[in-house]
This record gives sequence, structure tokens and C-alpha cells, in this order.
Amino acid sequence: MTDKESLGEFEHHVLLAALRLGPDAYSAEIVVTLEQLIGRAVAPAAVYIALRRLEDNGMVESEMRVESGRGGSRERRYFEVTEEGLALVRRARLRLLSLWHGLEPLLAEE
Amino acid sequence: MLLPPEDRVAVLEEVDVLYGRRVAESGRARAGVWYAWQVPSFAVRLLLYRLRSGAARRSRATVGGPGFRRFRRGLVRLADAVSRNARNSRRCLGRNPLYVAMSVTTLCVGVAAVSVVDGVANWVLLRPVPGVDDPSGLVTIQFEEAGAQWPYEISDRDYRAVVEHDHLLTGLAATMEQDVHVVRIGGGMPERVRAEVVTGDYFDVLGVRMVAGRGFTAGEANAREAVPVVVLSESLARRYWAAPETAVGSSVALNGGFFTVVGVVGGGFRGETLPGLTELWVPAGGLPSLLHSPDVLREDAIWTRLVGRPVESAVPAAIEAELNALVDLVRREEPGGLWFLGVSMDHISFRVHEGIGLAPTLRAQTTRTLSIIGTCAALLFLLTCANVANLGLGRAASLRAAIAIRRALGAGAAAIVAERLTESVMIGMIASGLGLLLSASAMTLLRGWRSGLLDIPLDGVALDTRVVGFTLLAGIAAGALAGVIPALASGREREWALLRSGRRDTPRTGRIGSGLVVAQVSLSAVLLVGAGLLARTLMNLGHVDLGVRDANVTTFRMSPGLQGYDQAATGALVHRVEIRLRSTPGIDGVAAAEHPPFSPRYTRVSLKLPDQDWEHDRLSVSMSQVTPALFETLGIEILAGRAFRDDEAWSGSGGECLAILNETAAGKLFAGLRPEAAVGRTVMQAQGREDRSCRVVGVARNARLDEPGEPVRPFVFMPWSRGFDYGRFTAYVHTSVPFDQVAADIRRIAADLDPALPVYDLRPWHTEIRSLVTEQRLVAQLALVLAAFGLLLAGVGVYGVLAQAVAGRTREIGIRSALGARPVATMLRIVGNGMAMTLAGVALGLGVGAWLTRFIESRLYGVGHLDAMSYTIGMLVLLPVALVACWLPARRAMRIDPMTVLRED
Repeated sequence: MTDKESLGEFEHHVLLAALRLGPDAYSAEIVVTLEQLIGRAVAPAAVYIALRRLEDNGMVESEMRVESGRGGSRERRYFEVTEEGLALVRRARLRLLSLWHGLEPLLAEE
Repeated sequence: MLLPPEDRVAVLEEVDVLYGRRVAESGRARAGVWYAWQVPSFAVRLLLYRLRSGAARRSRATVGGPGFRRFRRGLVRLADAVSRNARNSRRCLGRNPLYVAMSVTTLCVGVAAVSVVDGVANWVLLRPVPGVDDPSGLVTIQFEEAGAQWPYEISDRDYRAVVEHDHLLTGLAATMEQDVHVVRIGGGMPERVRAEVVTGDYFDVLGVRMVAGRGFTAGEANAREAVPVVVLSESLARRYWAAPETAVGSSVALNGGFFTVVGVVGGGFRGETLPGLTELWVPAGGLPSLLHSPDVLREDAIWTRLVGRPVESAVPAAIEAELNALVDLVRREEPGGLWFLGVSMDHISFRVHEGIGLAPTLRAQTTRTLSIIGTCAALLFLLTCANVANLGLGRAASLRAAIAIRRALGAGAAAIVAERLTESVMIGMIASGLGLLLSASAMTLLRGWRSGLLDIPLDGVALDTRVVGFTLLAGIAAGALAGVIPALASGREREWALLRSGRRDTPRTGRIGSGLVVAQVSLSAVLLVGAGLLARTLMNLGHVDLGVRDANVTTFRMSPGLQGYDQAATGALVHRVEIRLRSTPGIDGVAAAEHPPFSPRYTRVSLKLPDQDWEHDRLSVSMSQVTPALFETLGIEILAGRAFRDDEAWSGSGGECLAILNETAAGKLFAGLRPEAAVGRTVMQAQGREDRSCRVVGVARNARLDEPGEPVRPFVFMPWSRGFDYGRFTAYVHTSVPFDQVAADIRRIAADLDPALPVYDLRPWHTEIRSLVTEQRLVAQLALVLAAFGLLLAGVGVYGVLAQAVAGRTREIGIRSALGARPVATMLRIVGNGMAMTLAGVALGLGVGAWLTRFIESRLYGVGHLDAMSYTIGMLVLLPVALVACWLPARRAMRIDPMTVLRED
């Protein structure tokens, strides 16, 4: 179960990918971005569930938009990280940095 | 349901985008597999998300006492555990694709086989009659003789007696089927359709709804004078008119008489029996007009069956007793007993059958067929469970070390069980998807099968999801139990011993696994033996000397009696048809019979010798009136005496009664005498209360066509026009030209002689002969298909156990090789182990097969249930498959590198 103060690893990744893509991130784009960054296949269903959980906890907010294009109109749900979500990511980053502090020689690649 | 409606389109569109990307990256095939996986992926994740979030909400609620809140927290933990197990299982199964493929294939085949057979059985035997209100509350009543295949007709007098005095039925209607020639007034070709003549409140008893017009009024239904009204089926009304409403008030000609359409019946109703073929209904008062016989209602037994709706407390046995008591009263008034066409009706009584639908005689036949097929499917399902259980045992054995470590680290039995069950459920879900797909595909093929099962269309056959679910659960349970029980039964002491030894080998599955393989092989052997016996029966039936010429003969039928032809006119028509066809180029012979001599339904007469007694010596024989050329046209050999002459066939209904007996009839009447001794002798034919003396002019060779595999019935041929007038005939044309050409000639000549008289059942005669063995062919084909699946599963089972054994003995095999054992010796030892299990299974299977096949011995022809060749062929098919299944893992064992094994130590 998601706690507002702690994120699962995968939800953390999804939130970071959404941040990277900006306010017009949609689910499929997040999947592609994650696969490129973490180097393994990501299930679209897992990303969808993660985004739902994040939205339930106020970390992201979504909006359904209808777009018209060459292939006709289509509906797409776009996600944007909220201030609360951004604050959570900042706190998580600070926690990780403080934990990593002093371990740089071990973590550095040979 | 799981995905919010507003997201469905968006999610599908995004999956399509990702699919396109994967096609570009890894090709269409892998992208297709990825795409197919998204449906269960979304379903499982959404379900778990709903469970967890729902449980989480409930656990935060303050409603309920401490116990209830603990329960809710337990649900949350359970949801977490299920989610975790699902992820672990997915990763583990992904590393064992062969195990997944074998388990899924096994379950899929077993589920599909049982589901398809059940779906067909349900449709054929249990489907309700469309358009009828509460069909299960109705009863079908027939007039039957114990042991006879077909019922007798019921007289109108008997029907009126029971309908007036019966107290246990709220409504009782009589019905008879009658083919009619129908033409729409205003244009159209004559067409032959099935009609039903009905009495009383037929439509009210059945609760049938009209889509236009009305049913019959009480006056129309109860009148016994001509009432020219008709009710049409919706399909016929739409064929002739644009809409059913347009048909009401219009006129049709039935057998040359004009009838007014008063109603169109809806709901897909096509008669109270299945398969529903009836296109129109006529009240009883219209029957004399249809049959051109004014006295038919007074004199003849005409009603095929009665249909009634019992009062609430009435049971079939009580209804039967009441009806037979009422008929006995009528019989007592008839001096000398009740007779019909020379047959005493004293030993014939009413039988009440619950429900309507498949006619009782057809129901018995199809039940027999489906029982055989169902038994094969059940054996296949047992094979499936044994296979899945064996694979589960092997899987548990391969995970034994991992399970031991987990238990040593504190994992409880419940956690182990949960993991194994999750794995089994995941395999079951994949198998259920594929099994449903396979079953649905099979159903689609069956729905398009034109000839249907025993001429019963399968256009509405469908899966019963309960059966699919049950078979799937049973298979999953078998696999789960087989995986869970060994994991739990190992005990901590043995686990510690396993961990201390440091062995990385996979232990063998032991006696249980070998026992399951023996069971699988034996079940497969039983299926193969059964299929082999049925296939040999079919082959024997195909090679039986029929005693007739079955090639280059075309047959067709006409029913001039329906158009008002009397006996003389029908005979004249038959004569003109013969003459016209005989003078057509390419036609070598033409003959006709009033009733097809070799059909399952036949006219029966009683014969005896002059000095014999009817009560003790009566011989019931099939009879057909024929033209003289029948024997030459069909190639029936006259063993003694001669065929009929033209003057004997066409001299009119007067004159001496002549008969040609077949070998069986001559042998029974003149026991111990040669056929020649029967020629010139006299036999007596029962005709009501007066006997008729007939002279035997010839004895014909037996023709084996009425019941393939049954002893040839006694048969008597009589000259055309010397017997009864049925107003119809079947013609046989021996020709040397292609069927299309002779068919065109036949239609042209028939139209010349009477354009209002349709020709029907025009086809090569060998197709009609082939239809007599349709049931045997169907059963044999299905049994062979199920046996083939059984063989596949048995091979998978043998392979699975041996593959596990090789994996478990890798170290031993490597050490033996290092010490100098030859690879061939290793292979022979492994193959020998496998073949030993196979031979044990074969021996068991042969014994069980010998016992089980006793129950189908009555369905066999030309072979006994212990036929050595069938058993031998079955084993010759099974043993090579088992050999290949043994050789594949043995080949892997031969390639084990001893250096690799020793290095790992």
C-alpha cells in the first residue's frame, strides 16, 4: 500500500519519468521513457496502475483530452506531477543522497 | 468492468502505439505475443489493485469491532501476498517455458475435448424447443410395443376416448407429420415441405405465440370436416411474402387444395420435435383434403404422438396407467381385439415420456452415440489430470532445494502452498484462455457442419462455461496437489539433510511419477484400442457385400397421392416414368418401389404357412411393392424362381397375390428347405380379419442395407398395384452417364408428365447407402480424434518424467561417463526405463480395454471386442511414440559433458 511519505521503487521511477516528460506526459510515453532509461521491458498495465495509485495519493493529476489529428480524433489521458509529488521526490532524493554520502569510493565504477 | 469506461479507449489506443513500436523493434511475431499478453496483464493487475485498495480502505474504516478490523487487515496482507506470488511465479515460469508449454497444452486439450463433447450433448439432447412456453412441463405420449424401434400410430377414436375422459392432463393434442406439396397462389414452383396435422388446442397446450394472425379456433380444431385453414411458420411466411402480416388472409395450395392462411407462428417454432422441420400446420379437419381420402379420420390410425401438459401433481406413470385403462375400455368393445394392417394392437400400449424435443426413438439412438463419445472424452480428461499431476510432481521435485532453503529460513507451509497454488492458477489461466479459444473454434466449425450430428443440425451448439470451469479447476487442482503435497511432505529433517549434502541435483519423482506415467499410457492404450475397433467396424461395413448394385444408380422420389392421384393413376404415372426414362440415352434400367426397400422405416406385414397358427407362428416381415425391373436394375440376384412379369405388375389391384421372398424370409418360413423348395408354395398374409393367400414365385438374395451390422430382416416383394396404395414411389435409375445429366433428364420428364408434382430426394443412391452408416462413421472419427489427443498426452507424460529423471541424474551420468561408460549404454538405460513404464502401461491398458470394450460390442461389426488386429495396431501406434518420447531425453543425457559435471563439484 502506498504511503504518502514513502514510494515504492517502481512508483518512484514512474514519477521521475513523468517529471522528465513535463505536463503533457501520457501513459505510453512514460512506458517508452522508462524502458529507455532503466533498460528493461516495462508492462503498460503496471505503469497504468502506478499512475492510478499516484493520482489517488495526490502525487499526480490527470486530464482526459480529445485530440484531432490525421488519423481522426482520439482520447488520451495526460498526467502532470503535482507540487506535492514534486516535494515528495525532493525529499526522497535528499534521503538517498544522505544515505549515499560517504560511499562514493565504493559506488564509483572501476 | 475493471477498467473505468472513460479510460478504455485511451488504454487501447496506447497499447496499439506500443505494439507498433515493438513491431519495429522485434518483429510482428514477438510483438503479437506481447500484445496478446496485455489483456491478462491488465486484468490481473487491475483486479489486485482493486482488491488491495478496497481492502486498504476498509482496513482504515472504524466500522466494526477489533476482530473485524483484524480480518480486514488480513485481507490486505493476503492481497499483498497474492500480488507478490504472482510476480514471482511469472518470473519462475518465464524461466521454464517447456514446463509451461507442456502443462498448458495438456490442460487446454483436456478442457477443449470435454467442453466440446458436453456442448454437443447438451445441444442434441437437452436443448429446449424454441418458441414453446415451459417445454419441460410437457409430456410426449406414444403408442409403443416393448422392444420395437418405432412407435405405432394412434387412431382418432382412441385419441377422442382419452381426451374426453382423461383427468391428469390439462390439455392434450394429437399431431401427425405429413409432407405436402405447397404452392403460393399467384406464382411459384411447387415445393415439398413438412406439415403437421393437429387437433384440439395444440398451440395453447404448447404455449406458442403467433407473430401474425391467430391459431385455430375450437371449432376449426375439433371439426372433422374439411376446414381449409393453415398456420405457417415464420420462415415459410417470409420466404413467400415480405412480412408475416402480409401472409395472413392469403391463400396457398396444399396438395392441390386451397387453404387460407390464418396465422403465422413466431419464436422460431418449427414443431414440437427436434430438429424442427415443420413449416405449416393444418387442423385435423383438413386431413381428408390433404390426403384426398374422405374417410381417413374415421378408419385409420393416423396420429403419430400426443402432447399434453399434466396437472401439477400428475406423474408420468399415473398418466400412463390412466390412458391405457381408457384404451382398454375401447378395445373391449372391439370383438376379436384391435388390429391395424394385420398387426394385433393388444400388446401395444401408451408410453409417457417427459418433455418434448428429440423424439424418444431418436433420443435413444443419439444417447447411445454420445455415451461412447462421452466415455472417450472422459478417458482423455483423466489422462489430462494424470499428465498435469505428473508435470506438477516434476516441478515440485525440481524446486525441492529452493523450497528447502526457504523453509530453513522460516517460510511456513502456508507460504509454500500459496506459491505453488499461484503458479498452478497462472498456468490454469493461460490454459483457460487457450482452451476457450480452441473450444470456441471447434464450436464454430461444428456450427457450420452441414450434415450435422446424425442429421441433427448443430447450428446452435455452444459452450457451457460451467463445464469449462469445472474441467479447468479439476486440472488445476490435480497439478496443484501434485506440486504441493511432495513439497509439504518432505519434512524438515530431510530438508536439512538435503542442504547439508550440498547436492544440486533434482531428485527424481519416484514411484508416484512412474505410476502416473503408467496410468497415462494405459488410458491412451484404451482409447487407441476402442478407436481401432470402431474404425475396423467402419471398414468392415464399407466392404460388406450389400447384395445390390450400389454404383451408377440414381434415385428419386415422387408423391402423386398428395396431388389426388388414386392407386390406378399412381401406377399409370410410375409406368409412364419408367417408359420415358428407359428410352432416354444413357439409361440402362429403371424400376420403382412403393416404399424404399432398404430404409429404416418400412411397411410390415404378417406371414405364415397355411397350416400354421397366427398366435404362435406369425412372422413379421418388411414389405415393398415393386415394378418387375427392380431386381435387374439394382442387381439383386434371383436365387430361385423368377422376377415378376409386366402383366403381373400392371394388371391392376385384382388378380392373384404373388410374392418374392428374400433368403431370410424363405429360411424362416420354410426352415430346412432349399430356396427352390419355396417356389410355387403358398403363404398366408394377414389382412385385418381375413387372410390373403399368396403364391411364392421367387426367392431373392439378401440385401444388407436396412440396418448395417444387424442380421438381414425377412423381406417380401410384391408386384406393383397388387397391394396397398401409399400414393408415393421411389425410383431407381441405372445409368452410365454423369449424375448431373441424368438428374436433368429426370426433372425434365417429371415436369412434362405433371408440372405440379415435385421431384425430391434426387441423388446418387450410394450417398443414401452411405448415410446408413453415418452414426458409425461419426463415432469412429471422433474416437480416432480423441485417441490421437490421448496419444499426444501420453507421449508428453513419458517425455516429462524421463526429462526430469535425466535432469535429476546429471551428476551420476556425468560421473559414469568420466569412468568410461559409453554414451550408447547411457541412452539404452534411460530408454529402457521409459519403455519399461510404457510396457507396464500397455499391459494395464490392454486389460482395461478388454473389459471396457465389452460395452460397445453391440456396436461392432465383423470384429469382436477382443480383436487381435485392433489391439496390435493400437500398440504399434503407441510404442513408437513412447520410444521417441524416451529417446529425446536420452539423447540429452548422451551429450552431458563429464568434465562440466566434475568441475561443478
